[in-house]
Amino acid sequence: MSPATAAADEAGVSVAVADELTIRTATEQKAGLLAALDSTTRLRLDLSGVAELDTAGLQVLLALVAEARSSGKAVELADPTPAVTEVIALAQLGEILAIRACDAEAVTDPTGKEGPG
Amino acid sequence: VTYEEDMAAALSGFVVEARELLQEMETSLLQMECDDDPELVAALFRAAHTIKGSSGLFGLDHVVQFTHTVESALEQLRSGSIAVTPELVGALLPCRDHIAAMVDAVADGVVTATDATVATGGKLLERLAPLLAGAEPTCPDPAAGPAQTRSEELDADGGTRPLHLSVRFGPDCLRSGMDPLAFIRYLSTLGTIPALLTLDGALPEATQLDPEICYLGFQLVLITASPMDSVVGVFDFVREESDIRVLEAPDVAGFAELVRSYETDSGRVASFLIEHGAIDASTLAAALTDGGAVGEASPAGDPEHGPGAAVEHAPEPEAGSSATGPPSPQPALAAVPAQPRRPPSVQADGRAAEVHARESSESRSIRVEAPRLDRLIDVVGELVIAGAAVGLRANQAGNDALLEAISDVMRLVEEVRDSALQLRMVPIGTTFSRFQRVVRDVSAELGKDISLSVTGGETEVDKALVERIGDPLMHLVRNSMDHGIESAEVRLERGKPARGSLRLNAFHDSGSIVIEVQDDGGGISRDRVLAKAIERGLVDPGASLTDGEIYNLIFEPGFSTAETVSNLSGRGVGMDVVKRNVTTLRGTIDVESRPGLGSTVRIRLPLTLAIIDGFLVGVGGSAFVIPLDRVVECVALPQLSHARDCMDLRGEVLPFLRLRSVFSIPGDRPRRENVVVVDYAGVKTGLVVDTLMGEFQTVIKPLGQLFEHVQGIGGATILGDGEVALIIDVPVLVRHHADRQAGHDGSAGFAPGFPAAAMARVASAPGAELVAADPE
Repeated sequence: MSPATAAADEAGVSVAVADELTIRTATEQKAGLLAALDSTTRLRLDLSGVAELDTAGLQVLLALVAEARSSGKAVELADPTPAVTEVIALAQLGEILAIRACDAEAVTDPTGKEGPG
Repeated sequence: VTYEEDMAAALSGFVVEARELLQEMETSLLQMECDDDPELVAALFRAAHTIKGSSGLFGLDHVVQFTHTVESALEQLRSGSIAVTPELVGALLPCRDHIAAMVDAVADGVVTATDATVATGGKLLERLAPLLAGAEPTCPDPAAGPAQTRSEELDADGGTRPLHLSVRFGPDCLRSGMDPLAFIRYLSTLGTIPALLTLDGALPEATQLDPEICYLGFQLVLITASPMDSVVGVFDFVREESDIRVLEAPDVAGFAELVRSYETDSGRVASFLIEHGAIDASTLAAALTDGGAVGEASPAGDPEHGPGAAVEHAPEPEAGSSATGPPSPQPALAAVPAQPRRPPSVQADGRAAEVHARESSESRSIRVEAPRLDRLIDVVGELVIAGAAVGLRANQAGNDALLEAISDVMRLVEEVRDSALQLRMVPIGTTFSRFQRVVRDVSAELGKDISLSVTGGETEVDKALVERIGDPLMHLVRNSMDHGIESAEVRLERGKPARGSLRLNAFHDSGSIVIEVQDDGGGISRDRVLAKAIERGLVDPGASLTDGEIYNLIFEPGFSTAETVSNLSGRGVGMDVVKRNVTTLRGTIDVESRPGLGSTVRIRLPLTLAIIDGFLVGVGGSAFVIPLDRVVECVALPQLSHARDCMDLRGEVLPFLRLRSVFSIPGDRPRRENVVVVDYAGVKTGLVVDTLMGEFQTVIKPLGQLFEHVQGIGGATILGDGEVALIIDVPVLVRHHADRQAGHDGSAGFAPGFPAAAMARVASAPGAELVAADPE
């Protein structure tokens, strides 16, 4: 069972993260997401299938975003479930893990991945 | 194992733990009244606190909320702002009961508050509130916001104030199922978290990242009314591996140490602290460059210091990282004071050490499900039987080497058996301690002043027995308080102290455990008991009974309950039920009384229900086991005694029973017969048997339902050769024989006996034909 399904489009790669992002799946998810990031310069994560997010999953997201930033790529988070928004709010990581409010279309504005510094 | 099963298991663990803690709370509360040991209050606080903490982990918000308020009250008690008074204890006990009720509900699957629990809880807290000092912080003030973060605005009466938490979990915490986010989520129930900084400085590059290792740390501000301890206590479960610091301004040294302890994030932490009013930039900078010389902490907070203004003062990551000053003065409440820099895994403050000590004492005991233990005992029992079978074969084969080997094996088997039985032994003190509460409540109910003293609580007894002796004891205790101990006026009149005293005592006595319930009340009125017994037709008016026999009449069925003389608590359950319960446990009960001075009820129980050491005897083709602890000696039956029912034992008259007649065993008497002298209730009786076959350890197999009313047989066992042997219940056998005797000659028998009416009951009991064979 693949935790993430990727779909390429003209604006980059869109990956739907299926399943939870937790300690149980994090290692697998990390591999999948890194591979997806490798294949594109603009990775869009569809989080609508993430029913649960814990610290392990959060670390994967942070590492992915950091990796993207260091290699000049972009990661975009979209369609979060309430579980995801709750964790991001709790950890006050809204700036680093910015969620794109509007959906789908590729956007050029990179603020979504820029941390405060 | 599914997630749900996991949760169910964890939840049942919670219930077990919570119940233990609640028991602890009760004990502490009761002891507190007469003992001002601060450790009691501390234990109480810890118990409440742990219950709150684990309820929080399971999302049992109603339990958290209620317990939180109780805990705040306990905190006041602990800090000395209020004193222990009977009213306070009286208000706290029902609160404890309420928590217990909620926990019970959780055990039954009710994990949210019902209207009833909310209402009860509210009432209890209303009752508690006036007893507390000042404004009681019943819940975190939701209005508290970031604006209040400066320590100057701290409400000294225990209102909300900002705490600064540094939360760094051990690398393995995720693997062990601890999610830091869950803890932060829980913290937010204690107050508000206006600011939080997720520290990802330790997070490695994505390719190096092992998502199962925890790299993240959190620095946060928690505005709460909760005492420092309860905040620290949230992390009790993870303290060992983690570096958790809870600091409160103006703990300059603590904040400096905190900043210093970061490898990669110290700059961010420092600016965060400054920004949120924990410390001002120049003080921090001074503290950091100064190392240990920050003892004279200036009150934190130049209030004018603008947030962010001092970011440039933030130290470099390396700043002071090698500094190890002497331990700095800490505010009394800082339960996790900063230490000289050390790895996160080491937390060496007093509380942590104490927690550690507690944990290690816990790890010395293992919780095992009772059925598993029962299974072990069962198998060991079978092993004993099988061992006996092998021994028998070896004996028949006459193989000496084999016999020797077997005797080694049997010795080990016995050891295994003893250790296995030992596993089931628990001190009876835990049962006794329940009675502190009972005595307290019942004395209040009765308007009497009664103290309970417990001795011999360390006496160990089979767990199954402990569980089943609780009810009979409860009845005896209530009874003594209700009818035994007089009212204060009467007591003073009689020259006794106004405060009645009740004593529970336990001790081991030759293979039995003896439990005593003793009161210093008026004692049992011999004449009134006798009159009542005659009125109820329990004794013939002309019968001559000893005092002991008369007192023991109160255990007879039909001796009534309410409004009797004596000692019956009038709750619709008579002493006969107590006696029946005790007898079911193969125990005996008797009462001793001194008029005007009080009475003692003595329960004698076997140590364990599973295995006994027996003495094997043969009658005709049948084998019987007599419990060895009843056997005094064995003698040959003098030839002259054949026609009589008593013999001369070194100048004493020894009455005896012929098992052959008692159990209607066919066949003729052999030429030589033996007498096994047994002792019951201090009276010796002989049991006449054909052959003596020696000691025999035996596993008691309960008799089937069909035989459960048979008197005089306590169970059965299987011999090495596969034959069944019946285990003789000496007390019952002797007593019933005595009853019969009494019925014959109209006088009391040689053992405490209850004539006519009692005998009629025996004769009408199902299965009585087994013992009804005429011994004459």
